[in-house]
Amino acid sequence: MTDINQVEILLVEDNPNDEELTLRALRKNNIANNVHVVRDGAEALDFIFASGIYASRRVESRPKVILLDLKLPKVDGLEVLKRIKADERTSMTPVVVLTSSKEERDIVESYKLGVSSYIVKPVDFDKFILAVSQLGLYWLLLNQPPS
Amino acid sequence: MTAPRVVAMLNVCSKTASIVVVAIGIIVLAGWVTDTATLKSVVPGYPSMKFNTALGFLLGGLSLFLLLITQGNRTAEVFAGILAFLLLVLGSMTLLQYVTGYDFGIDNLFFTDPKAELSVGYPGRMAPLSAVNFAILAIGLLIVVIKPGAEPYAGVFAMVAGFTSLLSILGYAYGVEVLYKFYAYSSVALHTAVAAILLSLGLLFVRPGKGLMSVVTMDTMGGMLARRVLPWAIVLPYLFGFLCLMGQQRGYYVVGIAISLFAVSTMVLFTVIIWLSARWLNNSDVERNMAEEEVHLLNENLERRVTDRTAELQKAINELGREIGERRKAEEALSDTLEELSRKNRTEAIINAITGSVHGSVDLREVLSNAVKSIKENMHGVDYIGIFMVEGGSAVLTAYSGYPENVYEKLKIIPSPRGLTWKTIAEGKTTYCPDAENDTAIGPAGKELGTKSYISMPIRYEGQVVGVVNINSLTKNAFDKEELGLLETAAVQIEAAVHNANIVETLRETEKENRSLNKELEQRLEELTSVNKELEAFSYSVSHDLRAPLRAIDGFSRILLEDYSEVLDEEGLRLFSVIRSNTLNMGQLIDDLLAFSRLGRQDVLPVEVNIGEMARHVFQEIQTDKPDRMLKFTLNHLPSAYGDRAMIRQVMVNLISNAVKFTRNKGNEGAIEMTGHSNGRENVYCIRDNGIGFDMTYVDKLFGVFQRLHSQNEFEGTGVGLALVKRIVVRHGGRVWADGKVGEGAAFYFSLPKNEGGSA
Repeated sequence: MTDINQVEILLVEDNPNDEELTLRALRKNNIANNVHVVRDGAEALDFIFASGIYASRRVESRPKVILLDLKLPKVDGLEVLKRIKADERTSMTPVVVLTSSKEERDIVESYKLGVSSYIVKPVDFDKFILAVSQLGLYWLLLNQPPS
Repeated sequence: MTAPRVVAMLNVCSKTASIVVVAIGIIVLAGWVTDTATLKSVVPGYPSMKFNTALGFLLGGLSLFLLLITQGNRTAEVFAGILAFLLLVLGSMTLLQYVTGYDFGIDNLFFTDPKAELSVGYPGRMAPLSAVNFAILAIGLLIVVIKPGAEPYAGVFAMVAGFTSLLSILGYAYGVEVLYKFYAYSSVALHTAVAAILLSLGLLFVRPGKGLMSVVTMDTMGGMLARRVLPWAIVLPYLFGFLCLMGQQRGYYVVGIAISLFAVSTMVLFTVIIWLSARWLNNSDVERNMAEEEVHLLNENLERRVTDRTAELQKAINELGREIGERRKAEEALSDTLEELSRKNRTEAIINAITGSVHGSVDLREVLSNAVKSIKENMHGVDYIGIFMVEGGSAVLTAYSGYPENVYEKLKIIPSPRGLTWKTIAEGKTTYCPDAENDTAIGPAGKELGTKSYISMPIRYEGQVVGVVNINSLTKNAFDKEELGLLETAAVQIEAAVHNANIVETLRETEKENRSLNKELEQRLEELTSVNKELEAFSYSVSHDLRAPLRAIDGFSRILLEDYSEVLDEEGLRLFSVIRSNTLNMGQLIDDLLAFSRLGRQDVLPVEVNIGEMARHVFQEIQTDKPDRMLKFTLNHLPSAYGDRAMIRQVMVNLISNAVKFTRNKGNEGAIEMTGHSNGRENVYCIRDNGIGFDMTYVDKLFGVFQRLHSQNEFEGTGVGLALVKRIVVRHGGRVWADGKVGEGAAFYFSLPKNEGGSA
């Protein structure tokens, strides 16, 4: 288990298959070390705002990117996004929506809420691996977040 | 009744007397103060009026004056009473001095006569007679003040004082000293006696309408007689007495003769006075009789004239009676005409009432109520009326007038086939019964009403009896031919009203039906909307959840291949590739279906689209995807389209990729051409290829969802592409069609409406 204050990628994903595929893709690029997985919206919020079981976490130690599925148990992905962007402690954390939904209104709504990127999970595994790899590399290595 | 003129005159006289008395008092007081003998005694040598006497007159005169001028003013009367009381004190104390011989010292209390020593008796003391008079007058005045209504007693006191003083005056006149000088006491001065008389007269007449003097002042024969005789009764004896005494004193005759003369002259005098009075009374009497006679005559005359006039009037009345008779005859002649008119009026009133309410209201109940009211008002002999309408197996009382509560309860609903009402409904003809005494048709309710005659008339609608009008009367033979005719008219109007009401009812029902239909439609719409929403939620789920397992299948089979490839043989690898290609197909199908369903919900946002440019880009993209294919793509000049950019692009993608796909057999010989032209109100575009073409037999199936003309092995595809094209074009208001020939290629056409007036 990674140190919860050293998390670089927060993966919010309720589907264990998708989680495994994503982690595999990340591992292929050797960037799966500091990944933390939460499995619903409520847990995601607890992690992000250091409450509940994550009370010991520091809010200031922001992950480099949050990979956020939209269809989540308990609290919906869009709601999580909204809360992240509404709080000034977390609003600068890049959030990438990684979802199966190609619905236009989901895309529009996400961008309205200030999402950094919107990725549709391809069905084709090759394309999926490619997408996740590029995503991980981009946000962890290329992107320069505010310090 | 007092004579007002006499009263006024007496009042003035009394006032004058009081003023004179006061004046005398003041003058004498002044005489004492200034020591003027003339003022004290009037005639030198005569007895003087004492100071107290003058004071007494001043008090009495003022008191009287106040009583005269201030009738009803209590304060002034009280003041007058105080003055009278002082006078009483003055008089009675002086008298007391005479009687007891005691000197209270009042004689010279206010003024001391310097020559008092010369006088005899009690110097400065008023005469005893004056003191008596003062006391009497003072009591009289007090009576007037204290006890209104006791004026007669005051009058008695006044007369006593008056006559006493008259005696003093007679003493002076006849030279009899003893009459004014009482023993050795001081004598009554002449002006004292005059003033006392004036004061007495004033008191006598102080309330002329009341008191003793009311006899004199009355406006009657007695009053008039008193006024005529009384002055003579006083003045003449005095005069005769004086004359007789003078003759005796001059020595013409002795005392006996003087008395005889006086007696005779008095007799003569009174005889004359009485005779004159009697004559005057007789004359008055005669005059009155004459006047009465005249009145009697006048009355008789009047009576006669009244009789004459009455006779005249009787004659006039008789004439008038005859005239009235004639008039009546004329009127009777006229009334026949009037009756005719009134009948017409009544008919018209009924028609108006019913038709008026037919126009004014569409409610049958209201129309019938008005009909009932109008018939009751305009038809004679209608005591009860009810209109029954047939509803199912019952006759329902719809409008009525006059029925008492208990009868109404019985008639409210008459079930078939009971009573007179149902008889009329069954027979369909009007029954008139002029004498219901032994009638068998009439029911118990009709009997209870006390019906003596009745009418029961059917109301028809479209040949059928739909109701009955029942009219009951409490008199026999209540309805003649005319009334029946009137009722017929009413019936026609009622039938018209029923007709109208039925039409309105039908209209209402239709409206109600429409309304319920509308409601149903609304409900359907609501249902559809909710179904649509469900569908949306469904497709959203599909989009998200159906893809995830596919991704898992594909992903994990890939992982298997990657991690365990060495344990799989060729067949195993092939089977895995089958799995993968199917998953990808499935993924494509889901995407296509989602696109297709999304179209139904998406709004069309039309803009001007350079369709040639768009076609070029789309072709290049597809070409890039398939670098192994060399295709000839010809693009002619195309009219720009008007439509939703994304949707039109979808059309281009689907059609061009189809063309690319189905020219595969041609290898590098494949050619695609796009043409277009403007045709009236729409632009028509065509994408033609030289591929495998299709059999025109199946042209109808081309654009259906999941319709495919080739097997999956020949050409991959989901069967959604052309359906989507059709759906987009149709949503834009355009058309799609195609033609082709197996092995020779196909042409797909679509048209889009031009932008007219800025709208799609």
